[in-house]
Amino acid sequence: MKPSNGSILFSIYKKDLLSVKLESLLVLAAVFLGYLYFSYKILTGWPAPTILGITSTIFFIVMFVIFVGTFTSVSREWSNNTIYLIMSLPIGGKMIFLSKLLAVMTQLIVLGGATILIGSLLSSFFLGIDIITEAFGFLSSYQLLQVLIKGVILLFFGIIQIILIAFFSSMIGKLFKRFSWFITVITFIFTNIIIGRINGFLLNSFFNNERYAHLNEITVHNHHLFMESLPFNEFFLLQLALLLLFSTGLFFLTSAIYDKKVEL
Amino acid sequence: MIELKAVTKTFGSTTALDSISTTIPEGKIIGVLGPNGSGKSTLLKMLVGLNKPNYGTILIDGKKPSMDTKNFISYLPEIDYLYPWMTIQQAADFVKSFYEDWDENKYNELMKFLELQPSMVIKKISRGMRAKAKLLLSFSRNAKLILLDEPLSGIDVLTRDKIIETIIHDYRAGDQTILITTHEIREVEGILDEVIFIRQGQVALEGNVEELRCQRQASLVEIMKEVYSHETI
Repeated sequence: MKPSNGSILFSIYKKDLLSVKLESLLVLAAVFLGYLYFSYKILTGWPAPTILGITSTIFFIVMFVIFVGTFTSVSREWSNNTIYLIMSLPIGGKMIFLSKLLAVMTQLIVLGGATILIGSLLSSFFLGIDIITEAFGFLSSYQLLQVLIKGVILLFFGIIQIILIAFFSSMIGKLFKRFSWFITVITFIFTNIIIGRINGFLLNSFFNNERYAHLNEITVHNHHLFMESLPFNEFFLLQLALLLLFSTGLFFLTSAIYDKKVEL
Repeated sequence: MIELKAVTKTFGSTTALDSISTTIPEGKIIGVLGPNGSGKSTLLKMLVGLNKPNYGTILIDGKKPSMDTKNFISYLPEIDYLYPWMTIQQAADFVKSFYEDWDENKYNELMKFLELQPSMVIKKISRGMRAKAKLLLSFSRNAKLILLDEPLSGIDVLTRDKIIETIIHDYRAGDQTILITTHEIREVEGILDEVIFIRQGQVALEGNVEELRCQRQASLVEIMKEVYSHETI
């Protein structure tokens, strides 16, 4: 019986996830040790609110490690010669990069989630349980929860776009035998700049008309006017659409480069 | 049947294959022989789709190398291409999830025959064992076309014999086509039906092994020496 696309995707996703198992466990262990060390420091004199800064710092370090891992998940196939196996399998670039994307997102959710969970527990321990309930009360009372949800959605798709830019840059780098890493980094930077410019241009073109003239009056002190207004919803939807558009384009372009241009 | 029509492949200023044209019959064991850098491995890589020709056409059963052809090709490269952290069983589970021609009985039989254990971790076993593991995965499928790139390279004599025994043991004459590139002509001479000698990216000599031996009253090794008499092999 011919294997289904679902079972093939699961198989390659499982392989991608298992290949980063050791690194993920090491990151998790480092997070635990980091929290343990700083908890000891707080217990022996550091001010308790420091835990908030520590949590966000550890979170960003974890995100950075996973971000670097995005590049190595591609380059490792070449350094281990396993690309010979991957390229001889009856699967195309779309399947390969979808599984890599899912594996990185799984890592992000598990490691990022663990970091935030431990940080929240320690924050409630050092600052009192009230701080969590206060935070949620604050969010619900100011309609900021809705804004926060939209922000998280944009962040989620923004991260997907960054991962896809990393895959795209890695593929461009792999087209060259020499200076592959240098070309990858340069491509990553320039692709981000180009997409950022196009994104900014399209957003400006959309909002730069009389209908939205009042937006110019919005300052940091009255920004809630923007967040509660119709333009904010339109901004959210347009930004989301642009993220999806760029991500889809990058995904298909990267897959096409792998299918048609990459050689060993 | 595999057809190569004026296939050229270059890597920068190096020409690996130079307008090569040949027809490889199906259902036979074919040796692709030649010195280092003659283009043997490139030829196999192009058949599996790892390299693309600059010019010319490759047809496998009338199709260009693609996802379709990969379904019936089993490829064993010279280098270690399996995930080093996997056990043999994990590698087998991974490979079999892509092919409908995977034969579990054959896999179990070969595992015993090659004296391998499913729990062996690929990065922890010897080079000879890794060569056997690669062979196990290639021959556990009922693939129509098997491409073996230097399967005997750097392997001790006992393991070589075992590998050749495996090829003979599992080959289905008429149904399967096996292409072997190798330097170890003495070891494979007895199992080859056809041979293609490649020199500087071109076919120097090709034909039925038995006929060539009779015509030239010489062994394959002697014929090879004659073909490459002006080169260092």
